[in-house]
Amino acid sequence: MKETTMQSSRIRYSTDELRSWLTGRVAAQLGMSAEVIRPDVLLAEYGLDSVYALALSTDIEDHLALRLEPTVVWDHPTVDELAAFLLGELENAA
Amino acid sequence: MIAVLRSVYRRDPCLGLGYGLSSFIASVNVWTAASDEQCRTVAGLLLANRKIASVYHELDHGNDLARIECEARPVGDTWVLNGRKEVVTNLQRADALVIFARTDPKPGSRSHSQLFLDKSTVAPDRMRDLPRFPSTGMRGVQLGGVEFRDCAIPRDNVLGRPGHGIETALRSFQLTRTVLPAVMAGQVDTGLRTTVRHVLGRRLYGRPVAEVPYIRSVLVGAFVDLLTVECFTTVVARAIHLLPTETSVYASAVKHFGAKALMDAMNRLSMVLGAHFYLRRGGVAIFQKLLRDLQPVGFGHAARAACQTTILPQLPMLARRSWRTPEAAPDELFRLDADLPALPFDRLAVTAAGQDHLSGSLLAGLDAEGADHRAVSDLAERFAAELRVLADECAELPPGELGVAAGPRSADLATRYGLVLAASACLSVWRHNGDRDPFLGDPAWLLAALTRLSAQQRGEPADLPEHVERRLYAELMDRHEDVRGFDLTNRRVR
Repeated sequence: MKETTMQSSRIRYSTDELRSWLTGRVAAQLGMSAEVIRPDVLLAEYGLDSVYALALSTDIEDHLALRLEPTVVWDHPTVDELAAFLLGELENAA
Repeated sequence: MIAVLRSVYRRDPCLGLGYGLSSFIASVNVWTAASDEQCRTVAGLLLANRKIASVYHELDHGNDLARIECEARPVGDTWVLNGRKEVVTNLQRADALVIFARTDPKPGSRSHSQLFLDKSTVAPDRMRDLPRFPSTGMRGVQLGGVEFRDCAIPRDNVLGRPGHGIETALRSFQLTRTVLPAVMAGQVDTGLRTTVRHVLGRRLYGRPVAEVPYIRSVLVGAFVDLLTVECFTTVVARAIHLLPTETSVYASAVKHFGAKALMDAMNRLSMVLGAHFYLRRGGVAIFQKLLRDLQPVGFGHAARAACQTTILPQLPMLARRSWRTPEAAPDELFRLDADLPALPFDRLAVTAAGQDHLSGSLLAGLDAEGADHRAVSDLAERFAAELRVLADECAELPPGELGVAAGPRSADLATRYGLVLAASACLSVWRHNGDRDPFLGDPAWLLAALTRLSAQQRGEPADLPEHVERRLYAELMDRHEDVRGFDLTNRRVR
């Protein structure tokens, strides 16, 4: 039962929704407005430091019900790259 | 290894750091990330009594690894190194270096790597020693600097995958963050012995100083704090073997907690000694040296603040994934005589992913203990309640409170969590070792340890029950007379 709900929540995400959710999380973590954050700029440029990027990865895990490497945000360091990678992971999981 | 180094630190911390810990700090990067061949090379050096320096620090960036500037550019089959490193232990004396360098100009966490450099292979004009940095404490340890100018290092000398340097540091320094407070407890052991010897031979206000109640309390307090630090460091050191995926948090917590506990204990002992601790001659003179040499426990090799920034972002997931549904750690974690498996370097992880079985053991212990010992149970229940409060506060922490910009209330959460972990370590060591060591199974020290931790948590002075203080004072005097350590091993120290 639980698995079905998770599956349906996985399928629901479009690239745009995922991007805007990620942008919102990063903005909240950095205490800045989401409009400022461009999806093709390195998150580190906005001051997202190593350890906070690690915390973001578990937020993503909980939100999308995925298991990820803790370093996922280091390896996909912009909103665009991260969203693309996560969509791939969601498809694999579905 | 901790036991051996601790006995060196008990006598001379400079020797311990300069000829022991310093090469250890550099080597953990190697054991964690390097190839088998690189490991053999480094092991060969160390077995030949040569030194390796861990070359990370740049004055402008402190513990902010992601902004380290010293740069290694890939050119042909070499890395070409340019830049400066400052305030680095043994830099000049070492035979080889593990250099943390920027290998990619992009900002982020995949732009640095560790490079191994045998100094004998470097042309003298490529590497210039900077003047030594004089220091307040640990004066016997050389703090050096270096400037690299187009210094070529073979491409193969990178440790692990290029760009994965921050990951290697976060994983491997879990060992060193644990070992540092564990061995520096040796200095406080000597500090306490020196103070006891002094007060036993001195009369003030018409009685031996040792009989002044306040003095007794301070001595017993320092003894208990030493035992507490040792319980916590020992359990975390064992966790690196047994629960390696969780130690990212524990190692930072034990450094953060242990450093402060040791410095506070030493400072309180200095007040017992009064003017005598300030003297540089006579039987007490060693104290002022040990006090100076202890300061690096707070800032050296990952400052307490840096430890806090490792813990803080992990609190919400710990709260959500572990604290609300606690699970106990395996018993071997706490049984001091239980064999340990080899250290699984490949399983050390950059985060604990929300897993915490150490605080889980606090709650499990409560079920098992029941009403056996009312006072212990009450105190343990207090920490269990504190963990539930922490779970509620941390689970919903806004993301803005997890970063460098966190307010003092959030920063305090890491401290409060450290107290809970320390309490759980003490409780579990007590529960699992009484059959081996009657003193460890006696609730007196545990009651004292939990009372002191709980007082810190509430910001109140710690007031030990009279019979507990008497029991521990007698133990302290026995150990002093027999020249046994004020630690868990309780062995003769000379």
